[in-house]
Amino acid sequence: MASSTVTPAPDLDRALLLRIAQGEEAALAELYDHLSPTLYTLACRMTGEPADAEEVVLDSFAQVWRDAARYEHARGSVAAWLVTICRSRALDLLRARGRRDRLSAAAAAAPEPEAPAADRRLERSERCNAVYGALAGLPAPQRQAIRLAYFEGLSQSEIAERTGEPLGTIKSRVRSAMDKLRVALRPYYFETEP
Amino acid sequence: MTQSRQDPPIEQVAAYALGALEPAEVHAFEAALARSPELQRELAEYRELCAVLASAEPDQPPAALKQRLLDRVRASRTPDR
Repeated sequence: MASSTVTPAPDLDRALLLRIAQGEEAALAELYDHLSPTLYTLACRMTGEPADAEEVVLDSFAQVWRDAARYEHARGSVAAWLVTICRSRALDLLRARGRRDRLSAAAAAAPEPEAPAADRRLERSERCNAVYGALAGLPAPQRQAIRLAYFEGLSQSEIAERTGEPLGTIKSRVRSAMDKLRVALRPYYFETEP
Repeated sequence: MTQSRQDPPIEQVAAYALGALEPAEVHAFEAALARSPELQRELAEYRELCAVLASAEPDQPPAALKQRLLDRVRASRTPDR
């Protein structure tokens, strides 16, 4: 292969994980290079603080180092596994600091994120643009429900409380939004067939 | 008393993947999940979706963070690993 591959194929991620399970630091470094931008961005968005986001990313990869042997491919891609870990660590941090409400108020006031810079690597920016497009294509109440659940870690009843809408309405919004996003974003999954 | 009836598990998968189920609902959902390959497949797909959602506007972490990670795993290494 002549060109340097910017994003390793999913089976390369899995190969890295096997090497990590055997204690190979170089493999951890390589997986970090591949997935840390995604995790760091998510953690920044969730915690609202770059310093907190760094801790979340560190803890997430440290957990990968410890638990690599426990990854089950049948449950999804390596990227999805790491994102699940990262969200969970970020939510732990938010809960531990009891800052959810303060952050939520800040996030509610914050403007929509800027569209991604044009100079990002192609594959990544295609995926990124697709995510923007798919989110933008949702009706605003559905988009808000996804933002509150995904980035702020609110449960459906907390979203209902926050928005003053009936719980049943929120549940339908979440389901409907996730179904639309799934259709729109399936071509951009890190791994199409787990 | 937010809930008077239990939603069917298949309608809860998306919320579960988002972490948006109530704590009281999670246990019952996970029990159903353990028994159902269909729910497991659905969940796997929603987790892929969640990973893709995270990749909006990716940004590089500070360069020093990688070294901190490697320092940490070295410090945590057991001699026989």
